[in-house]
Amino acid sequence: MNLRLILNFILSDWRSGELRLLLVALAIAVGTVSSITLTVDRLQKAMTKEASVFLGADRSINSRKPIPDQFVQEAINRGVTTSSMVVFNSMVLSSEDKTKSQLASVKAVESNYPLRGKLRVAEEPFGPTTETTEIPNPGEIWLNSRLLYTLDIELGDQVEVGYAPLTVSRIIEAEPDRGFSMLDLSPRVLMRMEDIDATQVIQPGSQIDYRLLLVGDDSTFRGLYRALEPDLEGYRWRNVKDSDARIGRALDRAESFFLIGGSMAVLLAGVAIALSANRYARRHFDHVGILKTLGARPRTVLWGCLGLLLIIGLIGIASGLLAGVAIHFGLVWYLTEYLLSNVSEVPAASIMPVLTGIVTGFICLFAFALPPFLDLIGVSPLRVIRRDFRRAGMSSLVTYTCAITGILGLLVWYSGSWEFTLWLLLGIVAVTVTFGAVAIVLLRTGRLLGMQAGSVWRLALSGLQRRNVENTGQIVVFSLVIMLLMILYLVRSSLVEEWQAQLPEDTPNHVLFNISQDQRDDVAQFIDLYASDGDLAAFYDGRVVAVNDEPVREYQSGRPNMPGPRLSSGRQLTWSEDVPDNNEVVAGEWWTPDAEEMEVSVERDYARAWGLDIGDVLSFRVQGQVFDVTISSFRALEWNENAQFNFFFIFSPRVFDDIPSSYRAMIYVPDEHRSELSQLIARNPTMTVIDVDSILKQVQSVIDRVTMAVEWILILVLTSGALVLLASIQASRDSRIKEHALLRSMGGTKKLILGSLTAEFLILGLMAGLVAIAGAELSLYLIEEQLLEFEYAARPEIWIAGFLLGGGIVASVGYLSTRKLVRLPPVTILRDAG
Amino acid sequence: MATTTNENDSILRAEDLTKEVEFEGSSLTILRDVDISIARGEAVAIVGESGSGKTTLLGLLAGLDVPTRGRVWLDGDEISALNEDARAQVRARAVGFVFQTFQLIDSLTALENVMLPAELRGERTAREDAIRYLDRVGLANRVKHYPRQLSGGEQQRVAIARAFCSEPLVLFADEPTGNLDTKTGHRIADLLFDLNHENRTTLVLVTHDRSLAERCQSTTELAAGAVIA
Repeated sequence: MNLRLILNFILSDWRSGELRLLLVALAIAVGTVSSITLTVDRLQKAMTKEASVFLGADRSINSRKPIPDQFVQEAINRGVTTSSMVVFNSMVLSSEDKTKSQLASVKAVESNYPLRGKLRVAEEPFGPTTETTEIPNPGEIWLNSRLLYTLDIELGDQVEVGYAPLTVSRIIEAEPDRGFSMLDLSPRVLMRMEDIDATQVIQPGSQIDYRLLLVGDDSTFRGLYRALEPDLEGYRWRNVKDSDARIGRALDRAESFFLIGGSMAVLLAGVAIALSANRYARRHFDHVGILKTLGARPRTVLWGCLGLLLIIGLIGIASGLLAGVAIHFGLVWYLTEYLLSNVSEVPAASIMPVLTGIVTGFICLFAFALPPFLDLIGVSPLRVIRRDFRRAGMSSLVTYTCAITGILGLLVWYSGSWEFTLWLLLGIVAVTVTFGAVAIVLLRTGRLLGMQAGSVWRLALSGLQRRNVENTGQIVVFSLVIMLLMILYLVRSSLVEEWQAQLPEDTPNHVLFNISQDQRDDVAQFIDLYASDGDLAAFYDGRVVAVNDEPVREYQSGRPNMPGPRLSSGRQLTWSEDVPDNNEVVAGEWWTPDAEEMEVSVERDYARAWGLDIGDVLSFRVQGQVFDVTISSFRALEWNENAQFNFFFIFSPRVFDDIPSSYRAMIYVPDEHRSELSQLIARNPTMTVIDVDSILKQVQSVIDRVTMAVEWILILVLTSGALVLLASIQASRDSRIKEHALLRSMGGTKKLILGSLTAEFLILGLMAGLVAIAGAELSLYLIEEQLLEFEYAARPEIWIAGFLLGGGIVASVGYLSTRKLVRLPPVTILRDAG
Repeated sequence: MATTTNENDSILRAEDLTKEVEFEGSSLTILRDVDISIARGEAVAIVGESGSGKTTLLGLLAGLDVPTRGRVWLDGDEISALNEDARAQVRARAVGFVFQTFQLIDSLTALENVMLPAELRGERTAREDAIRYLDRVGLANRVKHYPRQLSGGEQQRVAIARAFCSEPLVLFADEPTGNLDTKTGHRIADLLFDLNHENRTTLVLVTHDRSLAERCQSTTELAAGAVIA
């Protein structure tokens, strides 16, 4: 068949609307996939870039040993920007009054620091802060606000770090790679790498943390990592995900969601293409029959089909790509409009997403659309004289193998995971078989005789039963779509809820350390008046020395394989009159506030791991004193390091009567009470305050962005789903319409026909909804428990949604797509249907 | 044997033609031991009641289907021994069809439908020939119309134009007037026989219309799958 003839067919099929659905399905498949991959690609880059701020770089190499020059050289040779830094603890002394000193965490950096993010500095202690990318000049040093208090100095004064005198030129409040760790308590000092030699701090045996910050693109890093890997022993290669567990988890789960969402979009698009190609092929059996009687050879038909597919493919893929690129620009614009100051800050997309779109288009076309097209080759010319004559079509085996191989290839390629693909596919096959069986049972129950044209509902029911094979297929397709959509919607809700729960509105934004006994009441009063939430606890450093008089090391050695923290290691301890929030006594009893006994409450899992029982006597050493306490209860607690202090051991109030304590507080201070906080700090200069507000805001912004991206992907996949429904309804419409045209020619009213068609779709939709709910719950259980590592909980509220979605959407789409045809005179339909 | 033509002159010949189909596990014979020989340029009618096997015989003679037993020669080729591909080539070269249900491709215009066989053969003069034949059947002003915009008679005239446009050696017509009213049917029959005469085409006409059959030079009558006259 020559090109002109093929083009002629395409053109006339387009004019007559035959090709529209196939082309639109293909365009939407490519459009959805490419817009998702393009958006995800760019957002991921943007998110990673944003998250890079937490590391101060894209990657870093950390070690207690100096970073070898070879590492730096290798990185520079590969075009990676580097910046070296050392971090160590050192006493900082006031040059004026050397009795005033404070242990500080010193960070010495090179001039290009920070490679990502900005420093937050102030011109006066606790004053308003601004962002900068500058660092101290040589001979200068920047100190944290509270160091100026403790050293009793002002800006412009000199301090000494080791042997180097340095001038304090600015206040440093935060730097991007500070991270947030309870243990990193010393106030920060920032100085230049050039001045480090003068300090003479770096001596053999000194505790120095060496870091090499790196900025570059992912592929370069892969190469660099491979090159350095043999020598990395003793060095830690860190990426963004390691720098903050919350960001890491959010990014990981978002990627999993994109993977699920993208795979579902591919699957749905494939189904839409298969359905519309099938319909197209079925409607062309006659044409091929005619062509064959006119002398067209099977080979001619084959080339014709391939040519047709190729041209449709090119048009569909090209328009899909255009739409995908346009949608992605819209999405990126929308997201940046709300989240980023400037679209240009979002890194450009790579070529991969575009290739993904193109390849997806071709695979979809050949795996899903080719089999029905190839079926055309086998059409017998005899069909022109005997309408019912159909040769044995292509074996179902070939058709299904083709489709399954296609799906498999696409999913593996798309998700990069065989395991995930196989599970998803197995799930879908299992669901299809089960759905099919259920649908057959539902449809065959109470077989009605004849057309039952007397009433809308009976006509609809008899119609459903007469076409039970076709309808079974349709229920399977509807329920798969509804199921996939419900799964995606619910997974998204779980993700977003979990993310938001990680950082509730009043997550403490300040941590106060070194609160002395006489400062405690001032802080407690501040919390009552100005902090909307807070936790104030006494802190003692201590350790267990014996269990029931058996020295702890011996006790421990009898349990060599116990996981988790050692029993003998140093612990932070506290006392409390009441059971703290988020703690629950699960065994034994909590003491009364005025109890005289020396008791301790132990965290349940820790107690279980070390074989401790209620009534056991533990000996502790705290500040040189050794005392015995009896275990009186076990507690279960939610480890939430962002919101409150957690302890393995909590003592009854009397235990620490004779031991002086210091306190710590974790509080949320709303912006309007920041000045009161400054006053509190000014009144109590020895107290240490860490402001984690900016870190929390950064985390929140990353999480907001991921959430938004997830919502958009949901919308795109929903569109694909709607298309499948439309394709499926279109495909089944032909036989229904012809039958109803006959009924109308025999006197059936439009109302009866339209009513029964809508009722038929409504029943199909409700049945599909029912099956989908069961499938969705089962799949969610697997996805949440296995893939996302959530705890699964049944959701009865979605059951109603499943029914509404199934019944409502299928009936409306069915009604809308058949309404126009019912308005046509029956003779037109009968004549067209042949 | 329904005709008296010398076998050496025959353009279409069948021997012991039998067609059986499987139906619910048993074999059903729809055509039994039919011998037929049709001379070049001859017009032959195949008549019989509904279900007598007329259409099955036409399908076998035209190479649209293969017999269970027996042989068919068309213009020297034993088409019953050829595969689908080779039979298609014979059809493209030597056969034209007119059907009761017209069998036009509804997404193509009248002109495009008529051009189709020539296009399938890759001929370049397809368009001129098609216009000439559409003019000949009286549809010069309907070339751009789609089948659904044409009456039944007009559609059949497009089908006739398509059949003759490829200048076939043998034209198979399956109840060509069956879907038309008497008056239109007569006009179509006139056109068919006129063109057949002009082109010296061999005509195999399947019909249950005796008056139409009488316009042919010979008649083969089938009953229950066998030739009875």
